Amino acid sequence: MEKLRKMYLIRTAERFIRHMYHLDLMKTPMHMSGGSEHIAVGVLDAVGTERAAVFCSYRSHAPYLAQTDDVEGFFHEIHGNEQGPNGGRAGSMHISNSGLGHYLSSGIVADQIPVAVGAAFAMRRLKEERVSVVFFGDGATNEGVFWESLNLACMFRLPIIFVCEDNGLAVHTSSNYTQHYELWKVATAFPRLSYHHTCSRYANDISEDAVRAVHSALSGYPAMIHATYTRMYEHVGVGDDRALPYRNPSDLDGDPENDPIYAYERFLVEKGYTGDAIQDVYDSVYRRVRGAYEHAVDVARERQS
Amino acid sequence: MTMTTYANAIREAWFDAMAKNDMVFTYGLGVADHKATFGTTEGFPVLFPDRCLDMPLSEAASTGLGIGAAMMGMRPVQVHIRADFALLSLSQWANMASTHLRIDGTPAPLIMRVIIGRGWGQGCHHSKSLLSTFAHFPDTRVLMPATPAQAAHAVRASLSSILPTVIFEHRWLYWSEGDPMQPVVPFSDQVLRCGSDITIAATSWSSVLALRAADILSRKCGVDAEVINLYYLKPLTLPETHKSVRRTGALVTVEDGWLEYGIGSEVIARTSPRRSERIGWEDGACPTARHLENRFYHNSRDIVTSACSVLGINAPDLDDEPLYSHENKFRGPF
Repeated sequence: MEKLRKMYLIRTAERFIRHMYHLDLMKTPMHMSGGSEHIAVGVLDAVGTERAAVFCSYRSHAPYLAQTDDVEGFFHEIHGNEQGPNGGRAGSMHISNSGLGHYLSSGIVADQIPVAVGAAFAMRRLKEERVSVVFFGDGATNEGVFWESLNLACMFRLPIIFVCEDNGLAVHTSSNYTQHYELWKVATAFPRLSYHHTCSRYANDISEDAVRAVHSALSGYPAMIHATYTRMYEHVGVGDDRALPYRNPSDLDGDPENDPIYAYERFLVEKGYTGDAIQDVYDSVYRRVRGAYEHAVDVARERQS
Repeated sequence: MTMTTYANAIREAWFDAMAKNDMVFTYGLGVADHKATFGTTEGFPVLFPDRCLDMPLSEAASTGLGIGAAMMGMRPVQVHIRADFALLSLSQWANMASTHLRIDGTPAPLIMRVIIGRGWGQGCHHSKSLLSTFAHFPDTRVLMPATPAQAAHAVRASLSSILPTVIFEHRWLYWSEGDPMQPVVPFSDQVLRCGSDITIAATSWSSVLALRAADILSRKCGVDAEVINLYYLKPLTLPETHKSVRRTGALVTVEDGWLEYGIGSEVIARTSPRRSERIGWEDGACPTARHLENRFYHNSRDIVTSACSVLGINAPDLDDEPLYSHENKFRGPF
């Protein structure tokens, strides 16, 4: 139920962003996580938010909320309020909260990856039982620092999990066009790297891989989780781009199996949870997110008046 | 007074720092090899085997590694054997290191030692200084020590900073000697020679040239030049240059880098001398052959000529002045 709660928290927060963005009180480019909630939630559930040090890209919503659960600070930050974890200096793209273990969201593709390697380097040196977790897209694997970082992590045998959230698109460009390598083939060419690939939208599958990844990362074998998902919205902004020519036509089907929340809900129902119990979680998440949103908007409006 | 070389002052200061604080580690290609980065990490691999680390040729990711480790409380010191390679680290430096404190509120104080090459065929890819490049980024500290005392001070200053720091070390200064205990004022430029007629503000190796020029000016023109070394490039406060320029009204700036958008313009803008000239490298890539290189770099003769032009006097005959004495020591290959 906790995973459903977190995924729904992320989804609901983004729903508020989608529906209220036109008010122009959130003056920050939004890179939406919709469709990938199971990845951040599944990985961080397995690692444990106490043990994780999280680094991510500008697609920060899911990793940030999965790690910190700080939806109140999140809405303040994207409204530019001083109550936000970065006091409005970061917005959506750069949100961080070191105190809660989310160290960095990078606006430069892949630049967070070596920084996460450095955090893992320090953890190993300081003999902390922690794991550095770095989220990035498939586009980041085109960058040189990505490969340099894999090599460094293997060389120093660092406690790090590389999480590739693969939506097959770098902005609007298909990876079929840009990637003339198979990530799995190159990743498995690093003898010390433990590589897990999954197309599952089901958070428990991700967690299963992540449990193995944590174990290997803490025993001197850095891990990579390569998770394929379908991006629900456009690259940046809150619009639906699925009818645009660069998208895969099958994304238009709206296949519910692609939705991690649907997948998890079905699992809970099969496990015997009642619709009411699930609805209770949804209701309480909705109330919380709405409260967080409204408070942030009030503060933002007051500042403008 | 114990004299020591610039290289040895650097080595001893880092040795002290690493002995006192086991969070400090130094890394980069060659720091742990037999040449020990011009002797500045001599013995470190034996004394601190897990804190003097050779690295793969991954400059950018290595800088990122330092930033991440610094965020977690360590004090990493990355060494670039030539400044030109630091360009590969630039995104990490400008996008990660120099923004983190301001955005997140927690420090990521990576230290980068960057060595500027010159002479014996260093050519276009082993000779850049990049001082303006790095000093352009906010929330960074840029130090360019010219004396053994400053070199030792730079180590302590960088370790006490919560900002990421670049220390530029000029290859030719490694042999220069001085008293490492000589006082150094933090956040300040430093007077190397007192004078009353004209101010010469110079960086790094150019300070050596400026002292030589001041000597010539005194002997041949009766001009008493004040030579000021620009040690702290960022933050740039220039208390000594301000004082000096107020007195002399005349300023020549000499920098180890291309002239355009350089430190000279910055110093002149801030001190508003009545008359001034700037000296720096010729625009274009540094050539390899000695005779071409000699035209690319400025020398003491250029400083004397500029000083005379600023003062409105005729430049003396300089043909009998040896200008490249220091370079004669350098026999390569690196």
